[in-house]
Amino acid sequence: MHSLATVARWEGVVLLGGFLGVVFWKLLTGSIPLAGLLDGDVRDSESAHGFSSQASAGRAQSLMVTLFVAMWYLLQVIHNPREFPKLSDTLVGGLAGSQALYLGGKAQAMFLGRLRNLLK
Amino acid sequence: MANEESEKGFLTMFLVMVVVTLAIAFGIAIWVPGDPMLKLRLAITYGLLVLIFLFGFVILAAIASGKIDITELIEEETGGASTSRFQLLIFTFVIGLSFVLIVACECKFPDVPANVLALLGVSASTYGVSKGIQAGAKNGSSTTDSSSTTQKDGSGPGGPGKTT
Repeated sequence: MHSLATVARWEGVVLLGGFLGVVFWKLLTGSIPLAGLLDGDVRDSESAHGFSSQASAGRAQSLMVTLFVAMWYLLQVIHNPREFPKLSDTLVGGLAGSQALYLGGKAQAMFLGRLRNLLK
Repeated sequence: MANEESEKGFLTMFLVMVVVTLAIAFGIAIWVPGDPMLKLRLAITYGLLVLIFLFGFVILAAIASGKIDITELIEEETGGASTSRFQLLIFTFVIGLSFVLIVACECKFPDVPANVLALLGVSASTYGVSKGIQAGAKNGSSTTDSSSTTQKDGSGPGGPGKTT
């Protein structure tokens, strides 16, 4: 029965590691494009399509906070791989705030357009 | 023609997987010494383990070879990469990987703290709300400017795009 658990364990590691490796490899080689990751659509009546694209600070901060939380989480698991790490409410709250900021900015850009046009 | 070949290939792979699974199960049932009930239990469990692994491996190989196309995995309808999809992908992998690591070290199903679930919830909700905003903007664009080019040529956030 002990060897059964070992087989199941290695099966999970190989499959999940394989999926992660393939996706990571495709991200690195550009098969899964990351172009435009920090660009957001914004309502623009002057554009032919009704929307134009511009760099988004909300996306940039969301990406940074996401990477920070993910790295921190992974480090905690690597240090103690016997239980899920204890995440502080502050960390989860910070992530939620960051995502809320990103979504708020996206909603404003897509429904209302650029802020400077609104203030005119 | 290509579709027929693909179906044939899938059928062959499926048959090979079932044959390998049955061969392992029979091998255990015949050659492993011990109590018949234990042998039966081992044969079924190992058979299922091998079958699940082969299913996963076939999907993994198809993704790696490009038969299953994941190039649009994090793409928005309008073409660029999507931040909400990207962060959901990152958190799914990070938490999935940590889950496997913990199970591998402890050999038991771990207790998942509420904050870890909250982390995944925040991530998945962000993706969902982001899709909602896009759909809302698309509808708004359709109703307020029905004669615009967006509707004529189907480009931009109001265009047909890919399904999500």
